[in-house]
Amino acid sequence: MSRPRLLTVVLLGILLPRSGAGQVVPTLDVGVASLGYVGTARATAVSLTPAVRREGDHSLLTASATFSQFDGGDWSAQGALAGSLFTPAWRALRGEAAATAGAIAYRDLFRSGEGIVRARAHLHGERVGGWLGAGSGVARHGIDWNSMWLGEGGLWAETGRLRITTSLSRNDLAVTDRLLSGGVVTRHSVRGAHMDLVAHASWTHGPLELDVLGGARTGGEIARDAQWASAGARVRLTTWLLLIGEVGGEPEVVSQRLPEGRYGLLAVRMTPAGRSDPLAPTLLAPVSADFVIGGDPDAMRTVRVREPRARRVELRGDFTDWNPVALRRAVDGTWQLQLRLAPGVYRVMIRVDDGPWRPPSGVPAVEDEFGNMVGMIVVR
Amino acid sequence: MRRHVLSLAVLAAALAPAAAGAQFTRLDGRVDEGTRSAIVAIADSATLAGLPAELADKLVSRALLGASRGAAPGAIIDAVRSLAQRMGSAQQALGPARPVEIDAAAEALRVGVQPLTLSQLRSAQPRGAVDVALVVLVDLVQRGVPVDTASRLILALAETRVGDGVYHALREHVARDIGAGALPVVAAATRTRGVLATGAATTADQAERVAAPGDITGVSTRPRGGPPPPP
Repeated sequence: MSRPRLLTVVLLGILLPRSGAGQVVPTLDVGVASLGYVGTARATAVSLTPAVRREGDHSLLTASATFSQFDGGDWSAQGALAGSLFTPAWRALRGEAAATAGAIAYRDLFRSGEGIVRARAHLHGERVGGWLGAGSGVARHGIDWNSMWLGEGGLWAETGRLRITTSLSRNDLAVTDRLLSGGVVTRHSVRGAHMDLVAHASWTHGPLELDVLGGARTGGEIARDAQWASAGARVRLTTWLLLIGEVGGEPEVVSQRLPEGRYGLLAVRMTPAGRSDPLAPTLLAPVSADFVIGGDPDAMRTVRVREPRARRVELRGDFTDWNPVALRRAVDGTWQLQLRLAPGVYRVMIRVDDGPWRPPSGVPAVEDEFGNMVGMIVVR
Repeated sequence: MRRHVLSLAVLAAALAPAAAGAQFTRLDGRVDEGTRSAIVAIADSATLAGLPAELADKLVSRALLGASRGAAPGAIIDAVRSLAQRMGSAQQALGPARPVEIDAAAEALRVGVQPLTLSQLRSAQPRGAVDVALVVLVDLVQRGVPVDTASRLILALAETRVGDGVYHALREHVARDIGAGALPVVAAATRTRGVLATGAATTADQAERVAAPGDITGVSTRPRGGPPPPP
């Protein structure tokens, strides 16, 4: 079986909808973009992007299509499909089989596309993690097929509302080149590799999400050295409406010969009205660890509160007879208190920097008989 | 040997009332004498009626909570009496139960959960603890999920024997959805459906997300592949 056909079979195996239950979220983006690619004039386009995202218990599938109308009367169409299957967690490890496929057409002048399959191993900590992966794929540029091998690794870390991800990838390409010599076109294959280092930071606060991304490429026989950066903001205006703004640059997609360029866009994303973000808890982030009680019933318990910017943290509850007790800052940055606690349900409140008493973040809360909110914790 | 055993028995008998009454010394200097007497009487009655002795400690804690807020003596006594009554009702509805479950169930009754729901919850998990399920039920109701809906959803989860981690994950995600503008009832129902539809995770560590590197930039809305590259 030829390589493109084999890859197609693998791609379909991962990307086709799996049996079993899942949650589906359709969205529709409408936006205006300004684009400028190397060697071409700047253009403005109006774009329409329907997309759908499906999450199952161990799978993730996204599909999107974009149609763009340029100010000069030209148009482009592009589609993308990405899917992942995840293994159950074994200790801190999970495996992933991933596949992506995409295609682009610009009027009747240009066609390109690619399909890639990857395998990844993820290592998860509470607030940090990383992954290693490898993959292979094919890309089509015009009438020529290119092949590629990929290697990648990365790290991520979360602290409060900030999430930082860095990745390093190596891309080994074998591209077909055409030379015109003596009136005769000859095809020959060129091999080369390039490495990309990408860093991404996102910060979320309420309905606002900010993104910054920067990348650098070490080129080789085929690709050039390059640097790029972009920034974006998303604001959730209502349950069903998201405002998106992005500006920045993007590198050349070497396998498809898509040139590097700069862009800016403004778009709105619509989701079905009244819907909650319908992701199953099995694929979501760990339960908030801002307030943790560790230890066992026969020993001292340790209360840990994550308030990294606080200068002073106090706690009071059933177990302090509602007298305030100051916590001390530990070397890991958390605020801690050691005490004896029998199994039971306890009411608790904290105060940061002499502010108001409130339930700790991330724990169930209820209004007490005296009109204040208190946190409720179950100690086993 | 017999003399030693007898001595220990006498010592234990002598210390027992002191231990039982030790929790009331916590009230000294925090409430007036009349309030203290009333709380001791309520706690004694509750214990005589069959409540586990450990729960008297919770009654004292509730009084201290009121005192820390500067509540009037009458309000403190009312709160403690009401809590004792709810604990009795909770014990009756749950049947055999640990003190921690009775405590959580009493809070559930206060936010409007029906005693029948407590009985159904116990039937759904006859051996497992229901304290975390009840605490999460209270939290959902507090966040605006109608009590009937919240009760139904928690019962549905209990019937699938999910672990405590799933209840905590559900609460966390419903809170996040509501914070993002979702209707409480929609958020709770959708999240619960998600758990039920996926066969229900049974441990907290299954609530981990795999950070797919492909998510670094997400689905972009910008058009790509504009003018073709120069030949």
